[in-house]
Amino acid sequence: MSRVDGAVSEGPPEAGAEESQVVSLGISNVKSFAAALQCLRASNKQTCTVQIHTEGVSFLWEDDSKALQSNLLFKPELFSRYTCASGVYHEFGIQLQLLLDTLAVFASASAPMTAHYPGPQAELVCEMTDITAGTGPGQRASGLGGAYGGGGLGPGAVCTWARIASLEPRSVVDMQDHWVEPTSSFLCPGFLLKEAIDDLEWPGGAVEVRLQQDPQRLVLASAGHGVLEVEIPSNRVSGFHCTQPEVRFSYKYRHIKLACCNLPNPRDCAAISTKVSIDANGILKITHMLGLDPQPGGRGLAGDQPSALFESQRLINSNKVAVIQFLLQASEEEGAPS
Amino acid sequence: MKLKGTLTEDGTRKLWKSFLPTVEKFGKTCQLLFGEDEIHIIQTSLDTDGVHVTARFATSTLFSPDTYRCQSKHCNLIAFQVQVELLLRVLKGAAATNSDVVEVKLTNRTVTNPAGESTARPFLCFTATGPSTTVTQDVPIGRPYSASDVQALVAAKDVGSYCPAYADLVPALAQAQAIVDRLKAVDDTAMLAIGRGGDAHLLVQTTSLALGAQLRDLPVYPQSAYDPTLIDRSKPVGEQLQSALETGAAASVYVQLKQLSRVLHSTLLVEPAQVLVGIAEGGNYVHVLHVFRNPLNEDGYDDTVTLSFKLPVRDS
Repeated sequence: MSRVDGAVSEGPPEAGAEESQVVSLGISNVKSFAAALQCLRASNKQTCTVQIHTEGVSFLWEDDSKALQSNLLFKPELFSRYTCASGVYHEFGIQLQLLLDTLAVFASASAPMTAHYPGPQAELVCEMTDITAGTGPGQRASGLGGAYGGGGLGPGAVCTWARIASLEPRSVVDMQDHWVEPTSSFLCPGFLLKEAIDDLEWPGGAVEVRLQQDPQRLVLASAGHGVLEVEIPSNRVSGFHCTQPEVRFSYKYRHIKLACCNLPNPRDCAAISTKVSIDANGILKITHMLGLDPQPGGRGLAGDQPSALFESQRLINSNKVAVIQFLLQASEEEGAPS
Repeated sequence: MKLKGTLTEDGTRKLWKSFLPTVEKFGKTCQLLFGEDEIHIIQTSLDTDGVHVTARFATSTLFSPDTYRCQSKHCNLIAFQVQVELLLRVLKGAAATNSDVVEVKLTNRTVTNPAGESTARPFLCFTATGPSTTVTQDVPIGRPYSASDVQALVAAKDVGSYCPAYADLVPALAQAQAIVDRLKAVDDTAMLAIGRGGDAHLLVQTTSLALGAQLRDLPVYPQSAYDPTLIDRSKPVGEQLQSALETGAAASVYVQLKQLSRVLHSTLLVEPAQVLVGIAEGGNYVHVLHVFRNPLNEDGYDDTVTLSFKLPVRDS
């Protein structure tokens, strides 16, 4: 990773010869990005590996147990500006909570934000200038001997800036490299899964995912100091594909909760659809499509309203979709298919 | 010792709608200081977690002038401590019953304590007269202050000397509030810098994160302190702050975000026309002064009411 003496200037760095390594990103809907990243959050002290290249920005994370990993991809189309010279590739670690705290500060304004990497100390630099602030009621008070500064932005413009230190990236072995066909899978509204998993908390045991071919059934169950089974009604499940008469694997509750229950508030970031796949050895892949540009005042896509379908179509058409993926290993003790 | 008067409608409303709820956010108790010309609601570190709060009213903004009497052996000053909640409840009650007149009077009443002994206790007696009801309520108060305690409170009500420069946060007030609230998640202490060029900075810095906000081109008071040539906008924001601190164009201190947030949120209750923030010479405290608009004059300020806060600073 080359260090660049690029000034942390208010505008984007000029693409000079020595700065061709600098990646500059414009983000116009900070709230949605923050909401999408929030899905990855598992703990306060969590370090994600960030990869930036011409294909987009991805965040990777692996649980210490190695039985859970997640990745989130923001494609270049999601950014209002994406300046990354071809062949440029950056990989660094970042404390997710610091990034989320920073984005929360930026999201309190509605202005677009600029991020670039690397800064003078190989840090991630974020900046935002909110000029809408200068139109507050206080301007009326200007006639009373107050002295204003010059500058084109007007009084009360707010510049927010942050530098987040980068860390050594952690290498993550992609669990998908060990994916073994055949794959059983289904599609289902993310919020339905979230509700089911939330309900399965009380027995306090591992969660069993059970797919049955004939009749077609999808059951989530947990047994601990009690037994609870949740059957997802088949009319809410689509693309159901089960490769054996019955596929049944168990996963740690903590892992599956993280993968299903961190879905963002639909106001900021709409969960469009969720795909669940299981490979022959029980690796569970949960993929959420997140709409990063929800319609203002939208009700989200969890409901049954026909408008939800149009809304998701609109988001897919406009390419404002981020993909977040969780990969879970089946827990050993009771994971064998029956 | 004699204290009585009739609250004006506007005075009652100011107290129960704006000032007492503000004071309540800082502490459960407050100290009232009555004088011939001014009335103060004061909170010192006796009442709060370190912030000093002083609300000053000309007596005529709270009481009908011809009804107000305040006499004592000590310069006609009377002071005592009282529970904010009790005052608030009485005044809200009076407003709820559409009372036209609220009379206030300092009284002594004999009460019997649980042990069966009779003692004289001081009360502030409120009589609210409405179209259909008259409600009299006695609010128990602390023992009126001795001459030396009154003197100490008089000294505590003022900030001492004014700060060399103040910036008016009002043009960026909503943003400042939002930023302070979000920064609270990152750290409990932040650096606050006020520059004579009209910039205010907030900065939270840890080993792996620097997160700052610059509120630009704010009005500066007094005008003689204002110097726009001190700012070089061609530099990055962080460096502008750094060089302002190095050249002495800006002063900085570390404040508790929790306290700063509470002060900024008080503006929602009292709606000041200016929120002047200054850092004391020597950096011993932060002074925040809310200035109010004169309701009778569009361009003027109301010099009969002010609300000021003195925030303690931290070493880092």
